[in-house]
Parts: sequence; structure tokens; C-alpha cells
Amino acid sequence: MDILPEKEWQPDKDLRVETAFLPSIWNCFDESALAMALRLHKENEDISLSALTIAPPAGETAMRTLYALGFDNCARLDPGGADLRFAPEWAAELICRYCERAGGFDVLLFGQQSAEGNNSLTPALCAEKLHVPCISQVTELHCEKGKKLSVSCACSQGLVRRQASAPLVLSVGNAQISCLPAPTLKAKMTLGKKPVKRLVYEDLGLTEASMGGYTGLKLTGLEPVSLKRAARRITGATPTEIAKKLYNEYIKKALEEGQ
Amino acid sequence: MKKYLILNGYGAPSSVSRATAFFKKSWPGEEPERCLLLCPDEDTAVKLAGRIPWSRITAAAKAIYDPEPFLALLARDIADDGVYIFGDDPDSAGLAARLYGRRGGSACIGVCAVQQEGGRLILHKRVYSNHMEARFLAKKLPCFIALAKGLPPDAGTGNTLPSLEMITLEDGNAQNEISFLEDSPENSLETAKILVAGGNGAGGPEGLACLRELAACMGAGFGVSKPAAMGGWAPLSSMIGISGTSAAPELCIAAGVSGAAAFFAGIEKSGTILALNTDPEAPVMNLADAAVLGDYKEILPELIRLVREHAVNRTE
Repeated sequence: MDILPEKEWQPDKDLRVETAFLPSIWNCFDESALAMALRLHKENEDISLSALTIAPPAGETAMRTLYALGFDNCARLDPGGADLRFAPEWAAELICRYCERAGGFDVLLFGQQSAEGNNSLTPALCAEKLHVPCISQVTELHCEKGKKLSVSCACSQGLVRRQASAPLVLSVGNAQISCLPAPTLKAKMTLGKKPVKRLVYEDLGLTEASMGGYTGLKLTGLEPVSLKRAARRITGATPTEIAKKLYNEYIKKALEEGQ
Repeated sequence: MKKYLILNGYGAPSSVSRATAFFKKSWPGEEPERCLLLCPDEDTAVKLAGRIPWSRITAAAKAIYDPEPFLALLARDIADDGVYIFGDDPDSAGLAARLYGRRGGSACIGVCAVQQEGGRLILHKRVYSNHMEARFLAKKLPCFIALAKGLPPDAGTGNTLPSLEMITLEDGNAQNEISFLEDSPENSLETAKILVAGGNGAGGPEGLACLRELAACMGAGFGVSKPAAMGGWAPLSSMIGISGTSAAPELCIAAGVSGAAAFFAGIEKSGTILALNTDPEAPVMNLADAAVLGDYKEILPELIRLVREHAVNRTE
């Protein structure tokens, strides 16, 4: 959205904003979660990695990148015409059913929130549906003996480390391990060509029509937020002149009021 | 519709003040059905109770924060027509989300305003990385909401003689598996009168040095955008924006930050914003009160000299 001019942020009659033509980028929290998963795999090669995206066909490009980086199974669930922006309950139901049908899991890793809906609910809802513990704001993750993990996470009191046993849900927050490596050309040409498993709602025993029964909120309005200010340009012949203007017109006053 | 307020006493006291201010603004003249304060011990409960403007407060104490016992306590007695209001920190959001998963109803995280119209509950929150505001109708109760960051704190005097009921939660086995790595530093950015913010334009940690120096000589807070914090150029605790601190200084100097919406959410409540950027198309150039098109690294040495001179003149 940052690269779209403000006049383009206009919702249509269904309160949707057209963003399909914007370049696709990783959500920063999802990227951290994926980077952590790859690092776990490096620590213990017996760990198998699976990825699920609920996305239109263009989402398969990201799944092929994950194959090239070392993921074992990648699947794309087609959302059909459903609006998933503000439907974390529906997303959680789909993810849980996928996990059951895929034969279970040890760790379910999530990014903590999407940029569009900013719901921050899906990981917690999955944990409650699956009756497993949930650790949020995860910043670091390491393998320990057995099915144990060392999980560092932020909380109001500070940074804590927990020793946790699988199965569990982890929601990744502001982690400094945040960048996915670029796959090599060789990996792209070989692993990246593995087929992405395609699913539709019916594969999970659901239909698109059942989605409405899962959501707790109804979107009734969507308005662009304009935060524009005067944006007065401060100019000067030299950096020194500009600094003097900034000091005399704004900073001196703030310093005097603060003292 | 019964309202319940759940306050997190593990973080900054200002978080408690913001939640009580939100309640007073949303339901003027009303008291919550129950005000539950989650905190590490009785001393903290007594201190924080003085900031809460209601006569009856229940405090639940556990030395190290662990959501499980608090969830069990809260889930014991959820009212079918309840609205459960949690604070603006991630732990509070986590409790709201999990109670919703456990009990059903509806939930919304990051709420900036609420309206009750008869039996209908309307919730407002920012979406699309802070570019848009959405309005939602809660289709079902109970409704679990957690507040957006950066709402104004309560300016009231609080309460001198509250009735405080204490519940001490037992430390379970999980306690033994938790160890502290570092305490949460006091968040001075939230209360800073002047804020200096840097970002990707610094090009690396060394590019932030002159911004730190300016902040130090002005007695200002120093913060960075998410890319700079993620790159390890500054501590995560200094991160500003949706994922970090929401500040409301009287003056904010934003240098080398593009002004992406996720960052700007952390400084939008500033009294005056000055932007310094080499890119005329950077969003911050239109979001500031005054903007300089240029390299802040060339401008700051003279600015630092003037600020130091000001300090010397004040002393004399």
C-alpha cells in the first residue's frame, strides 16, 4: 500500500481494495517464521518442513521458492471467491483441518499478523482448536533433545526463554532472524520444479458457503486514513544554513519548552 | 451488555492508564462490572490500583507472567453478554485471542474506538498497515477486544482508597521451564517530549551515530524504524511503529526514514514532525510539518553544535 498513491486506496462496493496488481512480497512476520523453520531443519535434518498458503494461483511462486530452499511439502489452498482479510476464524478452521488430514504436526509456526487484516488472531485460534499450547512473540527457536524446543519470546516483563514440548503453536513476532536466503539457481532448477499440492475447500470437508458461520465480526465500513501535514519545505544554500533554520524555527522552541 | 476490564500490570504503568482512559471515554459515567488487574505481586497491585479510577478492583498475582493460569481464571466465568476489554500490549492481545478461541463470540485486536448503539457493538481499528480504518459490527457476544497502541492515557487523578481483592495464583510446573534472559527496559520513547528517529537511510549502525548524538544532547528519546532494528543497528526495544513503540512527543525529528505507514503509526501523534530525507518521493516528505530534501548527515553536525551552544547559554 505504501507504493500506491492515496487516491487509489478506494474500497469498492464490497469494501475491498484492489491490491492484486501490486508486487508480491513476504509478510515480515511470515518471513521470520520461515527463516526459523529453515534454521531448525539445519540443526536437525530429521525435521521435515511443510508449508501451506491460502492464496490464489500466484501464491505458488512463493511455494516453489520454499521448495528450492529445502521445504519438503508445499500446498496451496485456493480461497475461491472468499474474502479472507477479516476472517481469521475461517483461516484457523482451514489450517486445523489441513493439519489433521496431513497426519498431524509437531510445531505449527505462524507469523503473528497479516498486513491487510491485521487480525492477530489466527495462531491463538488454531492453538485453542487443536488443544495445544501457544507461545506468542517468538524471537528465537532452537532444537533440544527429544521433541523439545528452546523458545525465546518477548513478554511485558522482558525477554524469556521457555523449554517447550511438541506439539505446540508458535507465533513469531519481532525476530532479528528475519530474512530468507535466496535459493541457488541449481536448487531453483531442480527442487523448485516440484509440484505444489493444490487443495480446494471440499478437500477439507468444507464449502465456501459455510464461511459466514465462522466469523465473529462483520465489516461495515472502510475509509482511507489521511495523515498528511503541511509539508513545508525548508531550503538553504548550504547544510549549515538549513541547520540554522531548523534550529531557529523549531528546535530552539522545543528545547526551551522542555526545560 | 456487561463490560469487564482486564489490565496488564506487568508492563509500563501507562498501559493501565491508557486502558482506563479508553473505558471512560467509551462508556462515560459507567464502571466496569469487574476490573481485574494481572500483576506480579501485591506491591505492584497496590501501586497500580492508585491509577485506576474505580472503587472495586480484583488483582490476580503471579511472579513471572505466564498466560495459562490467567486464561484458566478468566475462562471460569465468562458472561454471555460480556464485553471484555484488554490493554494495548501483545500479552493482553494474546489473552483476548485465546479466550475468544476457547469461548466463541467475537474478537477484535487493535481497537481504537468503540460505540455501543443499543445492543449493537461497533468497533473501529486500523487495517492495511495503518492506511485505512475499518468499522466492524460484533455479530455475537461475548466480545473480546484488545486496544490499539498509542491511545491517550488517563489524565485523571486515579483513586486513593480502592477496595482491592487479591488472588494469588499458584506457580505451576511450567514455571520451572521459564528463565529470564533480560528485563524489559523502561520505555522512555513513550514519554519522550522530543524524539529523534532514524531508519534505512542511515545505511548501517554507523549512520545512526550522529542521530544518537543529537538525541543525547537534546535530552531526547532515540528510536528506529523496523528495518533498522531488524538489521541489528539498534536494540529491538528502540523500534518505533506498529510492531514497536507508539510515541507522542511534542517534536519528532525523522531522519533517513521513508515514512512507511507501519513506521509512521508510531509517530503520527507527534505535535510537530520534521523530516530529513534525500528522496523527494518518500512518503514522510508529505506527512511532516516541515521537510528538508537533503542528507541529514551533512546537516546534523551544525545542528548538534547549535543545540550544545544552547545548553551552554542556558547554564550560564
